[in-house]
Amino acid sequence: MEDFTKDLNFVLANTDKGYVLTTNKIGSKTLEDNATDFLQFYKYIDGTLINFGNNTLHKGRPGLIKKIFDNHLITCLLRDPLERTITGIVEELLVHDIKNYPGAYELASANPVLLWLTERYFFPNTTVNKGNEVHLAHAESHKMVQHIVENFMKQPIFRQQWEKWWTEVIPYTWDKLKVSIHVRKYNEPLYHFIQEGMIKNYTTCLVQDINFKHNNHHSNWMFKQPIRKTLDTITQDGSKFAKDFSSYILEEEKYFKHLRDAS
Amino acid sequence: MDNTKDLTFVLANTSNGYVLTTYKIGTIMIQSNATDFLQFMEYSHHEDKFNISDQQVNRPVKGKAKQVRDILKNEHITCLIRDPSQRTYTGIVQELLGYESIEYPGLENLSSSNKIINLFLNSYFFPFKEERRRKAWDLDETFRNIPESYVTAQYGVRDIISRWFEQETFRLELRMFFKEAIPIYWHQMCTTSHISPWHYPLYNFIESGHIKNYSVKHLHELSYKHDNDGYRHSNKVFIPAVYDTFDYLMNEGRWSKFQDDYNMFIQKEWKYHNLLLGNK
Repeated sequence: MEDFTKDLNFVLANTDKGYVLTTNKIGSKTLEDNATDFLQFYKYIDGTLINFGNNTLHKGRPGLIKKIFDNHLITCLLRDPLERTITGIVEELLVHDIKNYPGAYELASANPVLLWLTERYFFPNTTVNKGNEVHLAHAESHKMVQHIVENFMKQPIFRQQWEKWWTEVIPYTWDKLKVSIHVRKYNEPLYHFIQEGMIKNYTTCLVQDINFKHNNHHSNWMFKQPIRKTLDTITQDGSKFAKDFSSYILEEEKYFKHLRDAS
Repeated sequence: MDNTKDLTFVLANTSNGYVLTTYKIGTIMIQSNATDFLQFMEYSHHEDKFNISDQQVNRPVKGKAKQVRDILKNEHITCLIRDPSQRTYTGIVQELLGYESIEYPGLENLSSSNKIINLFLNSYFFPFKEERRRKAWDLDETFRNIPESYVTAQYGVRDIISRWFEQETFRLELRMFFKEAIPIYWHQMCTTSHISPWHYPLYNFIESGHIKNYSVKHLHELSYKHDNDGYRHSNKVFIPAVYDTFDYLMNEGRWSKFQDDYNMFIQKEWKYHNLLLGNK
C-alpha cells in the first residue's frame, strides 16, 4: 500500500498573529478570513512542494514560501488528533465529500430523514453551486430552520439514530476515510516536514489557543458526541477496524506530543 | 352475534338542515357547525335500540339524545357518504399515525418504523397521545396549562414539518412503514370507527325504515361557515404515501391474504355506496 505518512497537505498564511501553518480544513475557513498579505495552499509529496487550491482565495506569490520558511517564525497550528479525526469524519461523510463513499447512505442503519435534514439544513452548499446568488430573505429563513433542526438534533432519538449509523458506516468506509484530506494523518507528516529542516524557526500552538480576529470555528459540534460515543464502543471489540483505528490514533498522538514537546 | 349492521353515527342540525354522518366527519366538521342539535349515537341493529355513543364523553352535545328517533322520522335528513377508498386511506392514517396508534402494540418497533418520523408525528402532529387517551376528548383541560406562545410556536414548527412531509424522502419512508404495518394490523384496523364499514350499515339502517325522508350527499357538496383544512381532515400530507402503498400491496402479481381480505371489504363498501347514491 502506498505510504502517505510523509505527505503533508497544508495552508500557509500571514495573519495578525504572524505566519501560521495549518491544515486545509482550518486554512480554508479561519485562515481565509484572517489572512493579510499571504495565503497559499500546498502539498508536500516526496520532497516536492506543490502549490494548489482556489486561485480566487490566494494572496501573495506561492514561490515566496522558501523565503518565508527561512526568515520568519512559523506558528504550526495543531489539533487534538481524536478531535480532528471526529470533525474530519463529519466533513467526509456528511458534507461535500460523500460522493466518494458509495453505499454509505444506503446502509441499513442509515436514516434517510436524518440525512435529508442534515444535507438540506446544515450543508446546503452540497446542492448549490458556489457563487450562486442567495436572496437575503432566503438566507435568513434558512438560519431559522437551521436553528430548529439544531434543536431537534439535541433530542436523544436523533443521537441514537446517529450512533446507529456511525457504528456501521465508520468501519465500512475507514480504509478510504483514513487517506482522505480531512482525516489523513497531519501530525506525523508535519513532524517529518520539520525534521527535514523545511522550517527554520517554528513554534506550535493549539487551534483553540490562538485568538484570531475572525474566529470561525467548526459548526459540527452537534455531531461530535454521537461519533465520540460510537468510537468508544467500536474500538473495543478487537476487530480489524478497532486495531487499525487505534494504531492510527496512537501514531498521531505520539507525533502530536513530539511536536508539542519540541516547541 | 352479527353486528355488521350496527351503525355509529353523528346527527346534527346545521345551516344545511339535519345531517347524519360518520364519527370522524362529525367530530370535526359537523361539530363545529352544529346549531341546536348534536348527538353521538350508536344504533344496535340486533336490539333495534339507540344508545349514546361511548365516544361522546366530554363532547359538546346539544339537544336531547332521546329526540334522535323523532328527528329521524319527522325531519329531512342529509346522509353524508364518502368515497370508500378515500375514507379507508384517511382512516388508516388516523389509526396508524394519529392518536389511535397507541392502541397498536409493537407498531413503533416495526423494522420499517422511522424513529425521526415518529418524533415529528408524536410531537407536532398528534401530541399528547397519552393525555388524550386518559382525558378522552377534553382538549380544554389538556391544553389549559400550556402558554399561548408555546402553542403558537408549535403551529409554526408543525407547518415547517408539514412541508418536509411533502418531500419524496419522507413519502418513501412512510410508504415503507405502511407496507409493513397495514397487512399486519388490518384485522384490528378494519373494526375501528374510522375504517369499519359505513355504507353497508347505513344502507341497512335506511332500508329498515328509520329515516323517512332523506337525501344522500358527499361532504364537499355542502357549504359550511367553518370549513377549511382545519375542520376537514388534516391528514392530506400523508395520503400520497398511502396511495403508493396500496399500489404496491394490491398489485395483482403479488397476491397475499391481505389482498383478498381488503378486496372483500372495499368491494362491499363500494357496492353499498353506489346503492345509496342510486337510491337518491
